[in-house]
Amino acid sequence: MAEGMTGLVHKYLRHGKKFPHIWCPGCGNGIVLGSLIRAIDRLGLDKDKVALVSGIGCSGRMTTYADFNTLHTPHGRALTFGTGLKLSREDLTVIVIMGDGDATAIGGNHYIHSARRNVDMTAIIVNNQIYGMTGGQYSPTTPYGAMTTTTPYGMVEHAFDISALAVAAEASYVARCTVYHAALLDQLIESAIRKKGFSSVEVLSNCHIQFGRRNKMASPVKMLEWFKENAVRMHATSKMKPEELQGKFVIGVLADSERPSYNEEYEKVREQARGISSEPKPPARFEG
Amino acid sequence: MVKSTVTNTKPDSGEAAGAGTTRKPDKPKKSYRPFIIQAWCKKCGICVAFCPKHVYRCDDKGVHVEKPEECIGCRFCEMHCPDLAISVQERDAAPGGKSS
Amino acid sequence: MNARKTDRKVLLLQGNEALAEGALAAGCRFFAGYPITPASEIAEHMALKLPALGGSFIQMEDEIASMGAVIGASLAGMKAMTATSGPGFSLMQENIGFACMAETPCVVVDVMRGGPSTGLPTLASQGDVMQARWGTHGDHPIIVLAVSSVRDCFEIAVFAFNLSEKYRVPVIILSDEIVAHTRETFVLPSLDEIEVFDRVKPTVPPDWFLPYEDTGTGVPPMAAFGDGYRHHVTGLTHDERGFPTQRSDEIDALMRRLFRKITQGFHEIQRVETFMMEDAEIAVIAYGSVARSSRRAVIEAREHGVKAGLLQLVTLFPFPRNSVEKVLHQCRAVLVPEMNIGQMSREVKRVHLNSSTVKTLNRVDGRLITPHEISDCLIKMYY
Repeated sequence: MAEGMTGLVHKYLRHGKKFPHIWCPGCGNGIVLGSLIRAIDRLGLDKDKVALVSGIGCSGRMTTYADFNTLHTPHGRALTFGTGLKLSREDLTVIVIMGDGDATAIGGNHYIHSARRNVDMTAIIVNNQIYGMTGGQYSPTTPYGAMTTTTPYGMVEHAFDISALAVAAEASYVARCTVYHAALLDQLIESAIRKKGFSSVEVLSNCHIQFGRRNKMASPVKMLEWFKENAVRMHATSKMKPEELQGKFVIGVLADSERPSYNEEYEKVREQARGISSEPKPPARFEG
Repeated sequence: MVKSTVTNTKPDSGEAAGAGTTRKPDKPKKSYRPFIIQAWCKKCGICVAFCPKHVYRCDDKGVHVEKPEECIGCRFCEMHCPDLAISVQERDAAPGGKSS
Repeated sequence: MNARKTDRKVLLLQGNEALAEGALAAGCRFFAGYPITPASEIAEHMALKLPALGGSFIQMEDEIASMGAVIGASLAGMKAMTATSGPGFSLMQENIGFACMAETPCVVVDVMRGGPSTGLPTLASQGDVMQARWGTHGDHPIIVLAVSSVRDCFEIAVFAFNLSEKYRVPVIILSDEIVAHTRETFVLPSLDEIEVFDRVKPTVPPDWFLPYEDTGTGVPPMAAFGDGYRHHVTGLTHDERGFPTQRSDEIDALMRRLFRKITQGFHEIQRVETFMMEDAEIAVIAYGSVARSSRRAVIEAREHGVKAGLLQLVTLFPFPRNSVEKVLHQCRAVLVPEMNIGQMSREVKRVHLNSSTVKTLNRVDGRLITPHEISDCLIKMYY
């Protein structure tokens, strides 16, 4: 019988589902699931008020295992479903899990607009730098030169920096972590959920079966060691030259700002429409 | 309330309060026992590789808790087990002695 | 009918505006959309009216996002809709399929314009009929309704929401550029005259709740996210608990139930209107703005001694087979005028079993088929 920390995690799992889960032995998705649940528990959220939305891919399977209101959406569109949920039921805490392909390839447009719009939801992007579920094709975050099934001669595109995209789109909270740094991940996810506005937490994760195996890191241990050795804390980067940061994973909080959430802004619209707004109407020309 | 940071406990020094000292009595020290849900364990080896005290051992039968008494409760294994199959359980130790 | 001044307003409305008003009267409180000619006025009207009613309007980054947001809102318990035209309708198909599979009520308006592709943004067609039925992949039932007037736009919007809620299925309203932008006077019914149906919610304790249970009607009660009935919703083929399955018996059961729930409702889903059909020897079968021309054409034909009548299809799918077969038996010839190469005519021909002649009249230049074109045809058919 599991007690303590893990016993608590188990309380948030669907007991009707078959465990062990379907992910490969050592898959980082399992680490993210544990971290997410610990963060939710620390926040004291009511299970009935949590909506967990996932995309398509291995990370998309997370929703069947977690005992919340769960939604598994078409590829790339999770954030749009989350937007509909949050606008309609403000009391829901909306958390959206996506893979790197789901969030930045097919879903890239929705990612940047969700950030711009500042809908109060938390995006957790499990970045394993590959399309794992479909057998190991390259994704927008596959590193230059990497071997994948659709880059049998090596990747010739350069990868997105997902968190930089979120920062540029003015997400209220942007953080990056790796599955090696699970304790930090707990904290970052907790802060991200707590934040009012759009939060993005990018988690470098290990797909040793599809990515690692073709790139000289065929075990979860090797990949976690790779994360451990190449992670650089955000506060340390100011002392480092750009060349030194090549191939490194900068982890920690990358942006944290305050901006009214979409729901807050739209509530003002409702007040104005009802004629009960105390704020003066904006001038005919737009305010910048 | 679950701690989300890594905890470290110094191992018990084993010194008992004796006559002639003004030492305060020892607080009950915590000891830790990791426990694996074997049905869920997929033997990925993360716990074996990263445990700072080498508590775990892997053989062809699976992963075993070989040296539970060495566990310091850092919970690295518990937080990194992808199968959510490790539970590090706390026990209060009797003063000056090992836990039951 | 006398309108009591205190109860009813007489408005001059555009089809698009009337459609939005009908949606609001039906209880729609969420709209997500993307601008596209000739549907944008629906979005604009909803943007204006929804906030004061406590609802939400949002303009999403594209039509795919719009449909995603609509489904999210529906899962949170809202009556939700979007409106678009051909190019946007094509983009929405994947998510429409999700709504079919997850059985999330929603209304999608397609104001048809010339196609394919960018086509004729400011001119009408009826080219999206088959797409409305089969646009999304896989076997799926869906309800498709057609509007022909400003009054239709209001009433059919209410009808669409009611069907969507009752059968937990997306309902497509096919309008066209002509109906959408035509202004007509319209007597707004008072709210107590409008019958509104809300989705059935579960009453079992949460632990006993099966989100996709096969009840007597084939329609499972639906719980909103946040109401205490935690469950899983997915586009994957699933079992009664909502979890993905690959078991043959569970897959078959789901697929059959999805179709059965609609079949069981044919009697109220398949709506048609008849005009001068009692003694008709030849008939027009038409829908949308062409039905308006057809009505006028029947009157003109009658003036020439032709015993003509009109069967107007309000419900296009599920195809109102019974009503059409009745007309095919009664009449020796039937004309199906459409502003496309021939889409509903194929359905009519499919059921006609040589009981009468089916003639088509097809116009694809973006212009309305005129009453004269139709009455000319009817006269030739008759004599």
